[in-house]
Amino acid sequence: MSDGEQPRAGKVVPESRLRENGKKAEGGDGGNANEMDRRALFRVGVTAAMAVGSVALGLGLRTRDGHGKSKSLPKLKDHRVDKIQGAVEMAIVRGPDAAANVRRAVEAMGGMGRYVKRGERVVIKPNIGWNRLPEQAANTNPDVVAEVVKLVAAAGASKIWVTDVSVNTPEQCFARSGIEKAAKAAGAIVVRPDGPAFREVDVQGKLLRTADILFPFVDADRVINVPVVKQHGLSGATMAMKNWYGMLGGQRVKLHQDIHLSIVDLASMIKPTLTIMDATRILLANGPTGGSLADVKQMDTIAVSSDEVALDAFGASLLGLSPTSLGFIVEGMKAGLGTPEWRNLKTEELGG
Amino acid sequence: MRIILFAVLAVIPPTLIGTLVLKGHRAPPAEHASASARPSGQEADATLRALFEPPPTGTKIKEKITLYDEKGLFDFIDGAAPIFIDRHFRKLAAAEIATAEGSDLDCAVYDMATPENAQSIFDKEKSVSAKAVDGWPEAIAGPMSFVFHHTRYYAKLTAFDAKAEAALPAVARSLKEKMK
Amino acid sequence: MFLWLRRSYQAVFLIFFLFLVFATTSQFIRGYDVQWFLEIDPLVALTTALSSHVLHHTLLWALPLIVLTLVFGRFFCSWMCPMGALHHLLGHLGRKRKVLQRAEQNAPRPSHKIKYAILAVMVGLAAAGSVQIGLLDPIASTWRGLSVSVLPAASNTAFGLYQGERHFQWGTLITIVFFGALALNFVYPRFYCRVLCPLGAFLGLLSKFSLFRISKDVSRCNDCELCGADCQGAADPQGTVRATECMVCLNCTKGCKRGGIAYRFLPGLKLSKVETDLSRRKWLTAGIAGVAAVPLMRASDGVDPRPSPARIRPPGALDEPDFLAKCLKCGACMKVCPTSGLQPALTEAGLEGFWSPILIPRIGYCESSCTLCGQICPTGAITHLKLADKVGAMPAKPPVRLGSAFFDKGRCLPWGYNTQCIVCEEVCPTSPKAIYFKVETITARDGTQKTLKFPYIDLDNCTGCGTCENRCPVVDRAGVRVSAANESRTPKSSMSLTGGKI
Repeated sequence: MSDGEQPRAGKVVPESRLRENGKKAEGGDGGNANEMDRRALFRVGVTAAMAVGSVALGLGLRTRDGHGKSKSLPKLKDHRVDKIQGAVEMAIVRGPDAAANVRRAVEAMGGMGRYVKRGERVVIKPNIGWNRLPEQAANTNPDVVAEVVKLVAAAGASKIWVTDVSVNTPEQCFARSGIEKAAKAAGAIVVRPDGPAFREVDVQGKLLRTADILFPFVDADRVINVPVVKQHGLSGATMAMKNWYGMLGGQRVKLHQDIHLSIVDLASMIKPTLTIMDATRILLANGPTGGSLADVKQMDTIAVSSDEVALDAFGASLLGLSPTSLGFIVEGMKAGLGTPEWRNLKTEELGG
Repeated sequence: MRIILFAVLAVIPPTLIGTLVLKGHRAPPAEHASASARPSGQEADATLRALFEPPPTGTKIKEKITLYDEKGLFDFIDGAAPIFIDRHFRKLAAAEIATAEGSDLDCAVYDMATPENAQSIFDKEKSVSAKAVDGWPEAIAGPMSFVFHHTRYYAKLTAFDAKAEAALPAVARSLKEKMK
Repeated sequence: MFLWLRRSYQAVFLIFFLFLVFATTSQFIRGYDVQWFLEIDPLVALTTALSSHVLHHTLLWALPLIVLTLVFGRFFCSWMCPMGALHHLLGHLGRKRKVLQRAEQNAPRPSHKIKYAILAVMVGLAAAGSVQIGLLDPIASTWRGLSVSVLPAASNTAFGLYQGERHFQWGTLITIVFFGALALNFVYPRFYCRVLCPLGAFLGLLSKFSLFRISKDVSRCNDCELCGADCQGAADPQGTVRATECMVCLNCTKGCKRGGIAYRFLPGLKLSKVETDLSRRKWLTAGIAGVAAVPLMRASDGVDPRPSPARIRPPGALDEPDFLAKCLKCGACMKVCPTSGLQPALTEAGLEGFWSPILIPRIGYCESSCTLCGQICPTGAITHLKLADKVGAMPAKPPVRLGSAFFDKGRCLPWGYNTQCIVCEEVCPTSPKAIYFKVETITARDGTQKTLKFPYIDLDNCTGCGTCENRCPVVDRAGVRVSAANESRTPKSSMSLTGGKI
């Protein structure tokens, strides 16, 4: 058989095809002239719309650089209240009932109503860093946290967050420290440090330009620092200023490369409303993790102030350390954050 | 009609491809030169000297201006030299000047080649006891001294008595005006 | 007449494509827009825009092509596509001789709807943030096949296109896939174009709205099947012409001896079929599978939290999730890299990063004053750095870091064997050098005192370029090796506090 351009003679044409052809031959191109014009216009219209749509979309999305639109980052607010001439600047209360100590100390400082106004949103930052029981003094005393929540609630806050970015597994730290249960019972919202809870913030520090920070510290109107007093292997001690580590996510371990300046940088970025330092039980050795009850000393003390350097100096004295031997206290003073001479402040000391 | 269409279509590829190829052929690829455009050595020396010609308002030159390069810098500031050299220090112009009242002032202007380097050495040398100068963020004042950086220069002024110390800010400002 | 025009277009664009590929070397590139074919590829524009929510400015070229396809149909496949031209040529290998046999080869088959399913999966993947289109896109595949397989083999053997030999990690795999696709033409012509090509599928969908189509005057048909004998798209001109498959090759217009087939403006709707045969259910399933695949892939540890130390990206690369949302794995950066340091990843970047570029310093280091990879990346996955930004000006301005070098003190000659060696410090290109020496005296085996220079890395100055690893005399696993830690594109990766970000 030669390969020709003509079909083979006598090829049988399938019947279905014939019928199809016949029908179409009869049908022609369909309809009358007007029908055809309308359909043609419709088709041209649809195609034109699609063309214009794709071009518009493409032009709308175009960009020069690889990142798309950059977002502007939020900043931290100044949460301080105005100073009142002649008011008490630091209150130290000693007694067997931690909650009562907190109440009396805050009262001596002017009452919580001076610091939290009705309707404001407040975040309370205890130390919930470690998977330890309250007796081991690695975290803030849960009774102290609960009392702070109650005082803030009584002042009329609309929302109270209690949170910290734990070092160990947050679920276990929040539970074993007793703080989650106590805070919830007192009426606070406990925020776990999960990925979505962090925001990138423009902190404008000396060492840090931006940092990932838990959202309550960005959103709240008032911020209350509730640290515990502990010895620390690297920085010497961890008290009020160093407690701000706990608002950070990301690779904060790098801050250990320049610990004292990092602590001061953090304490400069966040301007809390009040600091309520828990020295009910303090950790004297093997900090910040602790573990052995032998390292814990019962001090039954609460100290309250807006001057974190002064509080840290006071805490250092409880630990038996000289304040000026601690780099972050010296740097904090130089940076103008406060004074280590806490006795020079208008102090009120109550109780045995 | 079909001929026109054919012709149009026939012309498109050569035009399109030709334009792309020619455009690419003419444009050379990205820069091979190094970072910032720096002035030639002699030009920069002359500009450095010119900061003192004429001397800052209200002063006169006591000794002629001396220029120091990297080697000379060690003679001038000894152990402090490496931190300047690390920051691509180019030349130092050292001048002894006197105020109208006759008080002596030492003036050292370092050409750090770029503004970033000038800022860097300023930040490095800044002492804790220095005070910021109101309205001039790039300057600090210490006892008997005034230090500032502007464009690619870093300037250190030293006074030896109270009268000269009082004159430092004005002298510094006058110097700054000339730095481009 | 127009048939000859189509053939000339195919030839001219294929030659132009090959010219651009050849020109993509540091010697010849000048300012040529070597990525023009990828820039006009609408699927590249669509998928990268979906996954990164922006359209890189070079990809605006795709818009005219989309508009032209909406008007004229799927002409790209037989008039401009270089892969199409190659398949068209090779299609002759598998082509049967007799008319009816050829018509049967070109008959539409159920398997031709697979490409739509592939398109749906790819679009689903892109919508969830992972661009994998480059694995099957014809232009990216041709780029990759030529850059990583054909041209290196040719150059290493005889033609000396490159300076020095070029080798690519597991390049054989790419060879097999590339030639495998071409070999499918032995099954029937343009197998790839009909069954697998997602770009063809996309253009086919756009052709649903085309204003110009192949149409028949059925009254003239005598069922000779000559129209179908050379139909490239398997568009069934014998029956109802499938507008989504028709590649406007115009072979059918010549085939029909009775002048019954022509390419016309707005032929009657009944005369062409625009359904793709892929049921709505299958479209949806494929799309959802694509979307779901992304979190499933990412639950594995390729991207986070344990990135491979070997995942060293090119200078100017975006942070990893943004990079994976844009990289086409086209291989152009691997081709243009003057030292051949950029290599196709296998497992180093996880499943998502398969065949994406990584630097393997043992094969080639990153030339400090070169930014070619960023210059030619069509989607901006590798941004085009200014040289001043890449090099930096320490200590005031840090450079772009690809990673950091670490000494393996058991393998380094001075450290492990008390044997003098100065190569790493000598070749370190940064200024000041990121490798420095301390001179120390040790007691040798024979009891004599020996003075040696012991090398150390200065982390702040190290850019991770890999010149040290590349030149280390310990040839199999070097005594100093670069890993991706401390790369500047990933703020979390920074080891030093002086980066300013945590």
